[in-house]
Amino acid sequence: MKKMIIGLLLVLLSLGLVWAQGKKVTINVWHIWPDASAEASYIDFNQALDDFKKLNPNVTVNVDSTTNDLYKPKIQTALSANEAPDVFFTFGSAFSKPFVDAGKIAVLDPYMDAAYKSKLLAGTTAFFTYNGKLYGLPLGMHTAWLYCNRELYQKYGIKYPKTFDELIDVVKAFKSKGVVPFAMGNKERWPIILFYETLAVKYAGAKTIQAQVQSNKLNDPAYLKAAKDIRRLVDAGAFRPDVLGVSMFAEGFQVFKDGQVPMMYHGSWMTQPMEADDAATKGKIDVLRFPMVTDKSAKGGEFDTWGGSFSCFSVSAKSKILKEAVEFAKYITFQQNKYAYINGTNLPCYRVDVSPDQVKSEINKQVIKLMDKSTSFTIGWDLMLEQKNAQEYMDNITKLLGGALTPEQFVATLPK
Amino acid sequence: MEKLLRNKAALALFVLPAFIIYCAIVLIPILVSSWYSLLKWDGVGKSVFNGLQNFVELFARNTDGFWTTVKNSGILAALSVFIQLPLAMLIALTLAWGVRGEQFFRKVYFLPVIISTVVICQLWVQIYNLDYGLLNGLLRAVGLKSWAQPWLSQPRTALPAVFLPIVWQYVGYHMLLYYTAIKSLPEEIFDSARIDGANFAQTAIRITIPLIRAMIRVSLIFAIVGSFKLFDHVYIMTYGGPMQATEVPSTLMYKTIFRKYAYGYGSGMSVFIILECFLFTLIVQRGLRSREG
Repeated sequence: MKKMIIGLLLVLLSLGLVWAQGKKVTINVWHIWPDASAEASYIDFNQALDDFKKLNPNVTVNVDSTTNDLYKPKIQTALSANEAPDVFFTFGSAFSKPFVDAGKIAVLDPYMDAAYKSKLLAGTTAFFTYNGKLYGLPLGMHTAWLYCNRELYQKYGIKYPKTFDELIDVVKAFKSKGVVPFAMGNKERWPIILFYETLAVKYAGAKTIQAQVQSNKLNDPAYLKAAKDIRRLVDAGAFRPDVLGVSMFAEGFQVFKDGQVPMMYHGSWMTQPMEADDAATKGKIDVLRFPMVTDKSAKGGEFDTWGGSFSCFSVSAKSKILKEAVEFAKYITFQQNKYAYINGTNLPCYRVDVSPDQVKSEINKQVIKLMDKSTSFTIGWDLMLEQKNAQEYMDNITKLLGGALTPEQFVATLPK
Repeated sequence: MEKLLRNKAALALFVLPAFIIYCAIVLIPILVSSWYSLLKWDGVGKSVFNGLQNFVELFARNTDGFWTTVKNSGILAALSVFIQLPLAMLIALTLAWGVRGEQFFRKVYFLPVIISTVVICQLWVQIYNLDYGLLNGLLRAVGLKSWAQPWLSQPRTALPAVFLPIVWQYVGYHMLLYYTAIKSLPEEIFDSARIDGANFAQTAIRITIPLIRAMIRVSLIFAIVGSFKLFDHVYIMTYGGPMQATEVPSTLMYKTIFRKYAYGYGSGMSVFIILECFLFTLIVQRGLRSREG
């Protein structure tokens, strides 16, 4: 008995010592990049995390990662149950709105000093700002471009398209040689929206589209024109016959990386594997803007670009170590933007003091030039629409792609 | 010991932990879901009492294809009952009748049950692949090139293509249920049947199947309820696509709750699934019991 009491005292004493040190902090972090081969951001995040650990040896960081599709319900459930980690990845605009409204996500403004604010590029936090308050720190500019395999174009003697009509001709030319023109898989239901939304913006202009999508009232003639163009692409044979059942991230992309397919129109988050040592496309990629439509009444320009800054790190309002968590988020987000720029994952939302020579990625060097010319950025409508409308929009545009809806029927399903 | 068992208070005490756990993970969530189904709620913010509006939308003014999903799960239930279970029964009877390598076959048929669903689904996704899939390769090899097609990518073929692996995977499960039930019957019955000159079919129909009726009831319930609750295979293989052709109630419920933020309406779907399972369990139990009398 005596021994037990002494033992107990010893335990208490050691606990007291730990308490007295007082600096030990544990931060729980969730993100969506579970493995390096599939997610380029995995490397950027871990480089940033290593920097943080070196500077803060007494802070323990517990990282938990889940793939994108599974992550969404996971973070939603955790936030509703007040069990969210201190710092977590999330999407801006409509995705996080219910949690902002319910007070689950911390307001960051009180922690934003002038020096840090000055490093943030203008406009990059628009989708994490609700009622004038900041709720997230941006993880990078994600934009969509037309990636072309130079070698295949040369092999078949085909020229890069300048207009959408020329693109249709290019599609037909490749098709007639037995080559599938576009790398594409739409099992996820959203890869096709990049094509559709880019076309709609070129017809109606970015301002009109953004205003209409954000108010869930889509009634411009552009929606029908863009839908008809999607059918033109499909009818010309732009996509593989099993496009509806193939995942963009598996076979959809693999055929491009293997050098079998000449074109891909997708987000810049997919560029890193194209330059990997095992990629047939390494050093053979030319990056183009999506060809302009030939409609004379078109109000958009050829450099109206799909994409923007739409994912961020946020901090749980229920975190017990709010201050430390925010400081961590501030540091890690900045560093991750920097490494993403150097490694070629995406472009930064901060002034990161990296000269373009330091950028390793040949593709990113081309993208930087195109972004300089860009006249507007429009993020995915699935993030701007109310979530119910967003889901129905993705279901219906997949039906347009599959031919179950005509362009007219598809436009009738859009929220008015 | 006997004294202890007669003591009602002691019995109650011992049952209590299991009862509490059962309540916590089965009964209470069902009640909570039922309550949610009466709310208009995005899952996070304030909820508003909505009466039976969610059910009106689900049953009367449905636009999200809920009834097609119910029909799809009904097709699977029918496939399970009329193809999977008879197949499982045939294998179980054959194995129990005594074939060479009984143990080996028993393990082989059961193997798919213990392999992770994700692995099974990925395997079948590869089998169905348009270019290098086993199925299309086989069709081309035997000169049926025109039959080769993207099985999981066309609404017409996707549903059977998703259901086939499910039916295949759980044949072994039901086979084992039947097999153990048959093996627990007294040997003498079969010996005397053999002496009387009964063949395989006669023994099966007149003796074995009637004697394992209780187990058939259990496996029928498992097969039907399992079909109504199906989620993982569809989620992995097609995500409900192409164009919602393979959507089942559980995947639609998942998308409604987590992607559309319609927690109340989605809970209405879950209540429907629970009631549907409950109803069919009752029907099966009643149906098979009446014939016992």
